[in-house]
Amino acid sequence: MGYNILVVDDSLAMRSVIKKSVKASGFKVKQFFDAANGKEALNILKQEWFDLVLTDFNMPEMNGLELVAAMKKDDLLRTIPVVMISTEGSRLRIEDFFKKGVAGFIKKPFEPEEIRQNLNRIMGEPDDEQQFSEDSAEGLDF
Amino acid sequence: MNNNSLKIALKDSTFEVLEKMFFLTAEFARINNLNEFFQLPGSKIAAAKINFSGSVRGSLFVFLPQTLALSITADFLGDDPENISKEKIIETVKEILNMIAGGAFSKYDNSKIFNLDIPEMVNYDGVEKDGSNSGKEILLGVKTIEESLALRMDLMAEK
Repeated sequence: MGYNILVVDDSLAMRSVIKKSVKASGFKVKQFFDAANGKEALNILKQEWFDLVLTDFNMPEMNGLELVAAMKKDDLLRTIPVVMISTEGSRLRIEDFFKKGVAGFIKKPFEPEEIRQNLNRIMGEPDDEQQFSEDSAEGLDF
Repeated sequence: MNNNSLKIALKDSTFEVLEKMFFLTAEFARINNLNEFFQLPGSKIAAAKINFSGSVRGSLFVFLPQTLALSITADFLGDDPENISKEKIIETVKEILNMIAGGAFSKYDNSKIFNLDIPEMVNYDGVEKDGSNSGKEILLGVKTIEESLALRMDLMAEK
């Protein structure tokens, strides 16, 4: 059993690295989906069932916070946890993310352990460091 | 504005990004002039720029030989250099700059919000000419086990 995760970032390279890092972290993944910005993400969110959204903040067309605001207005999407993965790490910015309904924050650059700890906390999963060591070799081949 | 604090924050952020995301150990390198530092034709150097605003505003540039851009993209994506497209190199260079900028400003002043624009690729030779007019700039040379890269922050006057 794993989670359906939507990864939203305008960089294809970064989406690939995020997916690889999540998998290497040992967090349970069923399937990944991709979107290049908030607008594209909203369309995909309406077509599939998602357990979690990992999004960049700074993107063209619709940024990460605008995506969260749009999801909060939609009865079917408002309960999906959104994790912001961003380079912008000022205290005020992070406080603003949480005030606006973001469930977690991961600062780039990140390490797989930080991802696993955050995602397990948000999804109410026990955090077991063994997950990383057992799954990381497989994950790195993603 | 404290230029020295900003330079230290930029250095720390650069080292953190290179080490955490690219597994590259880096050290400071002396740099007075970009052309002298690289000793390569401008056409062989990849350059990207990100504009920022907040309590300081201006632009941050990253410059690196295209050969280094290719090898770090391959490492970043866990792929063979032969499979790396120009688009992936561009995205990786822009992402390096984005991460370095975000990290530098949160290390410089974590209590203030800095706005970062979307990074863009620029022409190295064009940047050289523009840079001479910027007035205040921070230039940082970084030596890695492979090749060297450089960062330049052009600072605009405070409001």
